[in-house]
Amino acid sequence: MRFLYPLFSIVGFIVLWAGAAYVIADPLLPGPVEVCSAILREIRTGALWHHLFVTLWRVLASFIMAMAIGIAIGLAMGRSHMINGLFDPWLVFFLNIPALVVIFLCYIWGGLTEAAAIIAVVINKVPNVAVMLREGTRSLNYELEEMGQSFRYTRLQTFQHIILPQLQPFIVAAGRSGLSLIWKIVLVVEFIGRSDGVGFQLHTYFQLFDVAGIFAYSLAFIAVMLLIEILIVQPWERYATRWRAEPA
Amino acid sequence: MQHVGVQSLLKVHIKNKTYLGANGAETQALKDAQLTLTENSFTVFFGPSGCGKSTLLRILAGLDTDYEGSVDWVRPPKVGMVFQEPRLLPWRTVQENILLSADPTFTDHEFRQLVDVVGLTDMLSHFPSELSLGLSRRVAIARAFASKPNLLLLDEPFVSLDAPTAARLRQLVRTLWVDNPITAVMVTHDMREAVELGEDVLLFTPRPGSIHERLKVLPTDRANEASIEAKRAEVKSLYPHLFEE
Repeated sequence: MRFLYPLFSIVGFIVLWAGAAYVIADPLLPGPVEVCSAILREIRTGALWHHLFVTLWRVLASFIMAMAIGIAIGLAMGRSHMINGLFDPWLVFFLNIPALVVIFLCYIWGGLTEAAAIIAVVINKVPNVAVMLREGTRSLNYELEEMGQSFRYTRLQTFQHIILPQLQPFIVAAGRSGLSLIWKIVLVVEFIGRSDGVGFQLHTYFQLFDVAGIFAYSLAFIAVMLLIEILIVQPWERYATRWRAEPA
Repeated sequence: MQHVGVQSLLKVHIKNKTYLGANGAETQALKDAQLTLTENSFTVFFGPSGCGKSTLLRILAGLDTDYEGSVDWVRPPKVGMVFQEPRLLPWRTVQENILLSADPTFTDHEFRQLVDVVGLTDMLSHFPSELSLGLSRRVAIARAFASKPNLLLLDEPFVSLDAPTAARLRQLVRTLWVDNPITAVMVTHDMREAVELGEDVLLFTPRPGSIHERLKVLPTDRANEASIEAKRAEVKSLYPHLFEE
């Protein structure tokens, strides 16, 4: 019964939406049928797949880079007072700099290139990952490291078996919020300075006032991110946390 | 058993060991503590809480290097430690916890034998969160023996267990130690544990700790309940300060 509630909620919304679109009868509020036909049209021309794929590639590339750099910085800051002191002002600076400013500067200095686009996204995300991983690193269990030390674990063993499993919830949290933040920033980056991708398409349909097209691309990309969450993130998380005691 | 002329494994002389308390004041934990551990002996550090016996154990383990004095090993040190808390990796199974710390020469046959003796054969695929404290301690003890140490360190390994479980684990450690003779040091404030397991019981002075006296435990002392109790009463009448908690 419990799993039916979200279903009711979604079906109810679609019915309301269809009703409102029918009553207003204006192309600026297309109904579900119009949006579906817009999606089908984009699929038939092949445009949807092309732009989805381009955007997804940018999301994944910048996600992987931002996570790797953010984890490394966060770990170092959590472990060393000196590194924390050196990086902390810049962390606050980059956390608060508007995403748009970073994007503009990257495009101005790097040209309207793929590299500039991805660097802009990475710079926007790294500080969040670093902050989360710093907190994770600070909460590491010292007793387990001491255990490893007494049994002469190598550095690699210590990292793999003692540190990484403790950071895993922080990495998952950073990854989750990272993915949702990054794809939104990627769209802005594409909107401003790329000639393909979902953001570029949204830009085009925005200029045409084609709301059905805007909905079509937004929904398609949300669906892709949902699939990634369900097929990759959740199963991995279940596997990685299987050692936790079941809640009583 | 200790024999005359048996090789020593390490000589320790801690002239001074202080640490900073939370209030910023220096506390002297050890002062002029000297001991020699001979190969395959079982030594017990005995004394009230806060007398520095755990500090000395941590120095032997190489976990604390901030002291004045010397720890001279005859052979390269190889420590197997059983901590007060089991300190198992929660995200690894019982089997992985044991094998991660195992010596490279530790064979599958030895592993089967060890887990059989400690009674974990049916628990190998369990995670620590599924184990009782007694079982977790068994894993920690198995892990220490699997590492094939030349110095086994036990830091109050039976604390907060119910009496029958503690008795079974003492018996287990005794069995394992007799089967795999290694130099062992155990910290305790329980004279029964000391007499049941130790051959040499080093009585600590109150803080700053040093070794007050070396007490020999003979097999007859641990022959039965009455003799253990008699030994305990004897030590208590001689050194009441050791029993103040």
